[in-house]
Amino acid sequence: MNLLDGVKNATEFLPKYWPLTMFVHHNPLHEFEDMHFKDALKRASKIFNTDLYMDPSYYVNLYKSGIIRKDILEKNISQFLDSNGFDVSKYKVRKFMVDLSPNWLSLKYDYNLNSNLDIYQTLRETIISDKMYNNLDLLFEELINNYSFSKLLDIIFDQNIYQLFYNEVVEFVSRFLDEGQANITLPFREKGMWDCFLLFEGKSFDVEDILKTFQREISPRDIENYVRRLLVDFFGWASFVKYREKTPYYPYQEENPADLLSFVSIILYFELKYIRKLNRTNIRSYDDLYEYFKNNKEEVILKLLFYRRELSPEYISKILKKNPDYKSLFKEYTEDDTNREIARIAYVNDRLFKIEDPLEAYRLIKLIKEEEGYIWTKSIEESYAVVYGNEFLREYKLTENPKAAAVFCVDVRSEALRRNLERIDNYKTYGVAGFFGIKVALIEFDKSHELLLCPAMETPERVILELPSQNTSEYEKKKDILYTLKKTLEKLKNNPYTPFFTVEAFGWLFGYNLFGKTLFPKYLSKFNQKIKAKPPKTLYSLDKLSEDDVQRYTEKFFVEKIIHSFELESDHISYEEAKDVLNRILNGNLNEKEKRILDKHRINRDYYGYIKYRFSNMGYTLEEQAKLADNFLNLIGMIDSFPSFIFLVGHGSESDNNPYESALDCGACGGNSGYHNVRAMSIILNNTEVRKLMSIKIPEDTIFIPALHNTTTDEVEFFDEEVIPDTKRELFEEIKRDFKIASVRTRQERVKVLPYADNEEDVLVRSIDWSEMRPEWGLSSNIGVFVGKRESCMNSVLKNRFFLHSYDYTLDPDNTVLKRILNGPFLIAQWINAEHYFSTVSNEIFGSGSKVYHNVVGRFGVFNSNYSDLKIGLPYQTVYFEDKAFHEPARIVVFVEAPLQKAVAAASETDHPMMLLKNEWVRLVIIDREKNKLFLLDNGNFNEL
Amino acid sequence: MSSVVFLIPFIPIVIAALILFIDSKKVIPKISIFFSLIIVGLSIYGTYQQFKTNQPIISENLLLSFDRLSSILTLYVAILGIVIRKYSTKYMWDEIGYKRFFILLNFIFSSIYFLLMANHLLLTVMAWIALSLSLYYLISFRSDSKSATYFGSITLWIHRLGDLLFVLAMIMIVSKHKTPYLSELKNIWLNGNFDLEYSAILLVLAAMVKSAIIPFHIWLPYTSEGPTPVSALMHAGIVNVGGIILNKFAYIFIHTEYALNLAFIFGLITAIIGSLIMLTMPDVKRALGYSTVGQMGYMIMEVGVGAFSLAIYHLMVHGIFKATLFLESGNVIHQARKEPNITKSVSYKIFLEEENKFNKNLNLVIIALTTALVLYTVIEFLLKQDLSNYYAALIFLAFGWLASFQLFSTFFKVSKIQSLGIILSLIISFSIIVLIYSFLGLAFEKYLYGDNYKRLFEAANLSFGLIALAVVFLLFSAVFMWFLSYYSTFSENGEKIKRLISKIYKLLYEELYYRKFILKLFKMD
Repeated sequence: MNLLDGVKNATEFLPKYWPLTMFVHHNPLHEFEDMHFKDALKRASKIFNTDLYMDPSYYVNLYKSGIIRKDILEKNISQFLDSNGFDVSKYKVRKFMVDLSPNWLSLKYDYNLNSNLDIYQTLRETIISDKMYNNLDLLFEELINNYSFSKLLDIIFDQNIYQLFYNEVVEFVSRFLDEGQANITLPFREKGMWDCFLLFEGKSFDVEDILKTFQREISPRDIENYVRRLLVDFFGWASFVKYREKTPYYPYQEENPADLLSFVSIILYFELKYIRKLNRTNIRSYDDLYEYFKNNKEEVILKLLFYRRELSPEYISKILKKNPDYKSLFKEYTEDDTNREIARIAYVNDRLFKIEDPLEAYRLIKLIKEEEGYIWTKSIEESYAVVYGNEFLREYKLTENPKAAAVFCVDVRSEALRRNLERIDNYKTYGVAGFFGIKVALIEFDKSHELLLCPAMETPERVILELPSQNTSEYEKKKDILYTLKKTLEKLKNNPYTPFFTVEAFGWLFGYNLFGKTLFPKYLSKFNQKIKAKPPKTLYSLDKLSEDDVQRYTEKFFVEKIIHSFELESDHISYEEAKDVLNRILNGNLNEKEKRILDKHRINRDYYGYIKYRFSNMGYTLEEQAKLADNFLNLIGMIDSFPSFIFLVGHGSESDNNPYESALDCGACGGNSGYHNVRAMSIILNNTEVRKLMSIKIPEDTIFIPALHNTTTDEVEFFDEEVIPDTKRELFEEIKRDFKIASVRTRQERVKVLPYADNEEDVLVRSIDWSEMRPEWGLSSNIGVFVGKRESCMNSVLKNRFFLHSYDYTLDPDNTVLKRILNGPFLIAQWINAEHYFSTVSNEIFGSGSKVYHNVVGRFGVFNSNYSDLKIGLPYQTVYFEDKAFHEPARIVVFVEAPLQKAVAAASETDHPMMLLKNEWVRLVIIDREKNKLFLLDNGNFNEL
Repeated sequence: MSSVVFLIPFIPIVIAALILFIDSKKVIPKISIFFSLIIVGLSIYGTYQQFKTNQPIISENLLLSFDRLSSILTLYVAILGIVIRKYSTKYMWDEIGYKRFFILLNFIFSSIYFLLMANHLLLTVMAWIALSLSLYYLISFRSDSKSATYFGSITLWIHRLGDLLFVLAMIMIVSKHKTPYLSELKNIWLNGNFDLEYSAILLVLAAMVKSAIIPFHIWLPYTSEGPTPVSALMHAGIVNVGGIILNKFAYIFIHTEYALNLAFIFGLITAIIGSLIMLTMPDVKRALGYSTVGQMGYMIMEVGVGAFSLAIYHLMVHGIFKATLFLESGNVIHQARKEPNITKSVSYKIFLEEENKFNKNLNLVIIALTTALVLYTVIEFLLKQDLSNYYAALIFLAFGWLASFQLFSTFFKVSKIQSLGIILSLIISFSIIVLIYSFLGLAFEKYLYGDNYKRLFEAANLSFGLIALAVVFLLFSAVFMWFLSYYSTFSENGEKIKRLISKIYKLLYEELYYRKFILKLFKMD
């Protein structure tokens, strides 16, 4: 096959990994979603060489504590037995899974010689054939598929090549992708990854040349598999490069373009280079390796098994002796292993299953061990489905007007606050995706970059600007001084000659942080708040610009940019002259000097067109605003009986010294806080002009107030209170007090699950403590999504484990709302859940390991200690508590409150959500109120619960 | 009564012993911190006592001594101890080996205190060796990581070399003077005339190993294998031991000619090269590691010039600085979110009819800059009049000029507001800081060494040629760097410059090829 195509195919399985500055929870097995969940995990398990279910003892604990129901487990066991044609009692299988399976490994080394082993000797052949002890060639192929060539040289021939070549790649790639950490950057990055690399190594060949040379010298049997193996080794880096490649407008990608093909070629180049340099054997290629294998089969296999830790301790010591006799050792080992296997099967069968045909017993036990993880996981989900489903069937009815309404983000962390608020007084709460119906890119008034306030997989439709509504000169001055001081200190630190004087003169200042943050964090943060520059009040530029305005502002922007770029070349021109230059850019007749300067700063006609397009895309017309408002209210089912106060509560988190802070913010707002979205939407909904054009009629005295829920401290802050008339002040103050009480109760709830927290204070201090590894549990322990009326789940205590989206099926005749929910929050929740699942079952590969050893690299990610694979996924502390998993890994259970036919119809009209449901990456429970029944989607059928 | 300070080195061992029997994660840190507070109290008392009388306290068995040097450093380490312990309480909570971590932490603190207060040379040697060992255990704390053990063992090997050099130096000293007590040795050295060149050189080399000076620096940047609090402790406390030991044995250098020149040259080279390599590191912990290499180079250079107590001042301030940076190394992402370094796109300022044009008055800048430089030089000369006989002042002046130049030029480049008031306040605050800093440095000299500090400057024996060479090297290389960075921003340069830039970059990227070469030489790669 064409080498290039092989490489391209090999990169297909990689997910995208977003930089830590805008952490996106994603499914690392996203590219496997076109397979059924069980098959995908089996395949991925092989590719990544790791278990993708928890250890059986974990599930047994859940079973014993009652989280996994007995009836559900037994039903799933029966399903398993039926679909595989076994005629065995499900109770026996259950006993095996609960009592014997957790000790499966020790059973192997701990058996009593059973005299009845004779009848089990018929198993010998099958076992040997299963383990491929009789077909060493095949076993060899299987084993070497897991390692790259340099690694094989290390394992079999005691070389030391792999780690050195790996580090070399990491050193280069981390510097290429760097986003501002190093002050002296890799030269010529702007030429693109491959050209930069060529200049760096002082070579000049094509990507294909390297592939061909590698193929010729090392002769891997299948280049696609080989490259895939390398990409698994560099999984984190490759996923990030894939993100960069697929996101051309990401600013750093625009400046320094990276792509996967170059990355793969760089890896192959370095592997080749180091093999050539350090290989002291005469095994120069796979051909040589196979040749060597022919004459040394046992030695090679034993060494591979040793590396994979599949040998038992006594054989480990034997193999480490000098010049072992591999042939006899292997014979000894395989016999011993087979005997133990037989004895183990015999033990279990004699005591438990008592199946006459040993082969049948072996087949059963083997299959159970393969599938038990899935059976358990399925049982977790369905147990929750039954328990919560039945709770949700009971509806709570509020018979009078609510005191106020509050709309929260679907995020699991709003659940406890909503529940506590509702129990204080008659509040009605809703859940909606955190961008609150307005997906925009926003430029904050004191910044110059865009915040993408929408889910990561979407691009914002419009741009809006934050405008100060007060005088900013005080603020600007203060900020300027603080910024200048900071930048000056930074420059002094990052200059090879000046940091010494700086440290001696100013080093004491750092004691403020060192002692303050450790010994008095609260006072310090209060003091810092006082001296920080107070930002002015702001508004947003929500209205669309007129044609004239677009023209005027584009021109102004360009003229400023032209003046600025000339200044950088120490050439001062006036406003008029710059305007002239602009006209000449558009007409295409610039002189040499101008062309040079403008090209350097990329000011050209295309850019002009782009900026003009941006300006005309700024804001919304009044009709569009009315449509946004209508869509938003329809989405949550709020179309009549409006109370006088409706709160739009976004959320954000607060922590110190936390590289994962973006993961705790609102995922629906692209990893930012929901502050801007709720304010912008409130402005739109409060606008009388907009209300006139809306199809939903909002009463005149209803006011929308934006608020922000700090998920770390559970405090709620209200904004833009000026719109409240004096007549309503008292009610508002009362509502604020209710929110405060709800916050207190929520904090007290969380105290029970947070470590070293005994009271509220311990919860509050987590947001400012720089030694805090776990400021909040965040989205950990998420298990379900509820799409339906709040009334159905108001009575349930969901312990911050459910995403709650309001939905009223009676108001959605053509399924548009349901489809929107399925194409939006449903997918986000699945990604969040998958991220947590894989970070829990395999924290070292799909998670990022312990935060204690994290080293932030390039300002976009972390790796372990000095250099390693880029760590993607969630850190250990997020999903584990001490040594036990805090997050329960299971697929997300989506409860949809709608008639069965309607839900099925809506889902069938979607693409990706339908695929997820069909392949059971998500579990679906339908709450059909018309029939008053629950339906669980299982194996393609809807079964009643 | 005053010998109660001698309890200090034993208290961490007591903590470790207590922790051994406690399993509750809540109690372990509380005990650690409680006893550390006692250490702080004792060291405050000791410092106060030393401040009043200038008499070093020597224990009855002559094993431990507590003088002004020990008092300041003990106080510093004690406060650092509390910070590190408190930080680790929550930080290490989920790690397996929480208990083991605190026990090891206490062992390393104990070794440091013993080193600070040792009076018998054998005790010094034992503390020195114990330090290397505890460091190894803390760096390779993560027992399931191959790389942690690997980098930990590299550290241990290099430190062993330092241990050997130190032991040799001690043996030579004892065999010459026939007394193993530092208190007696100090008197002998102040009032005699000997040739101690070789022992002094061995001592300097040993200090260079411990403080990661080129060519012994390769272990330091790679110690980020350990947990973050260990890195913070290391860069703030342990890597300083070189400078500390040179101060304890300061008077030996009165009897040498070239030993301090050795320190001067290698210190200066390390300072520049370490800081240079730091600028190419893509990850925050290794960048901080090389930054420390540079700072330690400067500290040893200060010793080489004769400014022994300035080195102590430097290591204390640097420790605070570096520990803070390490403990908040996770904030890099927060900074990146607040200020991504990308080109400016549209902002609301478009909608303003008039924007205040910030005029940068070049003349003003030049005047301010010159004023600052002149003021700095004047202050330095005023305060260190009696030192102006020694060329040492020149090197500090050179560094000070470079720093002031950088400070003012950045300020004017970045700041949008250029009113006269701001500039004046900048110059005044700058002068005040320089005054305070120089004054503190001088006070330290007098405090730690009394009138003997002049003898140390003599001992440095800096020839004019050497200093002139150093200053010229400094200023020239600074200009050269500036030219390089200026030209590297123009990508339309000819091929030759491109290749030159690539070569220089690669040199730095490979850490001057030195590290890999050494590892390969000793078959440790």
